[in-house]
Amino acid sequence: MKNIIEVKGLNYRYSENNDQWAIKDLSLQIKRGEWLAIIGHNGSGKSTFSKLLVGLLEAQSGEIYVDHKLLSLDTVWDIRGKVGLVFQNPDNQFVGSTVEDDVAFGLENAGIPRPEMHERVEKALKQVAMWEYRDKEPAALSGGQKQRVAIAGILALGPEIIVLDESTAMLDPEGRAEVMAIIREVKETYGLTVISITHDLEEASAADRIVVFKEGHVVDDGKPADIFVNGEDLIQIGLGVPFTEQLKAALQRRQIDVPNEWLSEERLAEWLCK
Amino acid sequence: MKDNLIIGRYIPGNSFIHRLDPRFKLVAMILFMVLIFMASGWLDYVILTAVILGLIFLSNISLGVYVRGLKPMLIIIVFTVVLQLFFTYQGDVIWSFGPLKLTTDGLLNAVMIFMRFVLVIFISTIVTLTTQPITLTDALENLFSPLRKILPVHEVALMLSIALRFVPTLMEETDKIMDTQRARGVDFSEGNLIDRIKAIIPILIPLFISAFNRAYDLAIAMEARGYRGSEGRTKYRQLKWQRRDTLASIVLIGLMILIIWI
Repeated sequence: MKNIIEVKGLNYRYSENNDQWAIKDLSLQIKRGEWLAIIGHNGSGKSTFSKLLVGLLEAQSGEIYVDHKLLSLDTVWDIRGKVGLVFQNPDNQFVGSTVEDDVAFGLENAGIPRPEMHERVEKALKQVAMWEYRDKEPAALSGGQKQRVAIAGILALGPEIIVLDESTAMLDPEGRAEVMAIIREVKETYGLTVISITHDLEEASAADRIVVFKEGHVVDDGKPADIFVNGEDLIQIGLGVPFTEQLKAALQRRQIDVPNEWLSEERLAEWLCK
Repeated sequence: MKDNLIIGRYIPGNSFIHRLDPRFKLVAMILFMVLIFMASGWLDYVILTAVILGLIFLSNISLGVYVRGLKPMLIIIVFTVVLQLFFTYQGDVIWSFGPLKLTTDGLLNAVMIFMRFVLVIFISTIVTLTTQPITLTDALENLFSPLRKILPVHEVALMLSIALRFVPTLMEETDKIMDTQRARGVDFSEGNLIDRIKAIIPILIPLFISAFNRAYDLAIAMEARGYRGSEGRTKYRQLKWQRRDTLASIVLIGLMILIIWI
């Protein structure tokens, strides 16, 4: 598979006289159609990276290629059309005064003619199962529903990459499951690339590949199974380990011989039944 | 607190008034207000009251809702009416007590002032109750679009619609901050004027800071979705002038001629 995003030697700091680099010599390749999770503790540069990716912040040095196009002043709006961002706070990213208006906002900016706009809004809202709520105001929606509308707003623009910048951090478990299920569905339908920046390790364990950030660069990169086996290292970086790993560690402490490889919840349950 | 506030609220519906073009409603509201202030005789007021009651009937919202809308203005109304009643010195004296005189002219003036208040509030409530705030901003943008060269019409309309969209969000946040501060022992309902003003600070400052953060987040989200100002933008909503709007305009013009002629 081809790379859709290539990052080479990226450096970024928030102010000139700040010695702390938010992103330090970061290099990363992301394949088309991949589900990538970026994990790391607070201040590891995850969110800064997502903003650099669509040119909301400008890097001091380094190059970002999105779909083989170098991110620059000339291509930034083009690239923003390809990359959709869903942010953390569902209230603060809701621009429109109703669900429909919010989904249409990105299309209005792109100058899409009205008849096509109506079609696209309807299709996107049906995709996230929010069509019946099209006249509702944001105050009448739950957090999970608002995030679904945010996803619809991005889908309507026909992106190739969706970046979830801790999009489920402010949701209850139900809303979180709802949003993740929809992301999974649209990823399959449209063959999108998903980059999910998260603290939630259960969410990360569903990814194809996990990248661990620390102090602005990649310290670990691999399949969830490979990452989570190093439970101790993760805790040292300031992260937890998924529930199954915690259970395995607790069993080991009780002298029970569990397999050393990473297991999903189902697999662990299977093994325990044996 | 939200339930009592009728001013600026929208009640969804599908009546004749609901379906009128918001541009017409805005202009008609202003013309009606001018008419109310121009009305001088008894007959004018009778006609205007009948028309406005008719509009209320057409809006399919009960009269009680409109009457509740008068409540916040009650003190001003009563104050002005009483002032008119007792401090008009022209006309025949009906009753007097020291410098206070109740005269026939005073009585007449008081009734007219009262009717003016009620009619102006009613006509503006009809517009706000039957028009979605967002279409009102659309209407404003549309009406002011000839001034595009000298005024940033799109930007003002965008600001208005964002402000309207954030009113409930910020109200909710204010309630939350007030509860939080109450839980920490701030008392909002007691003490003298200065104490009460001081008690507002722990609400105001967090609210300001959070509004700044919200604005920052919203700006980032808007930019990420490709917002670059008014140029090259299409519009999702379109206002459509329909036959009923033309009809209503003709009726309105007729009414204006009638009132001025009388």
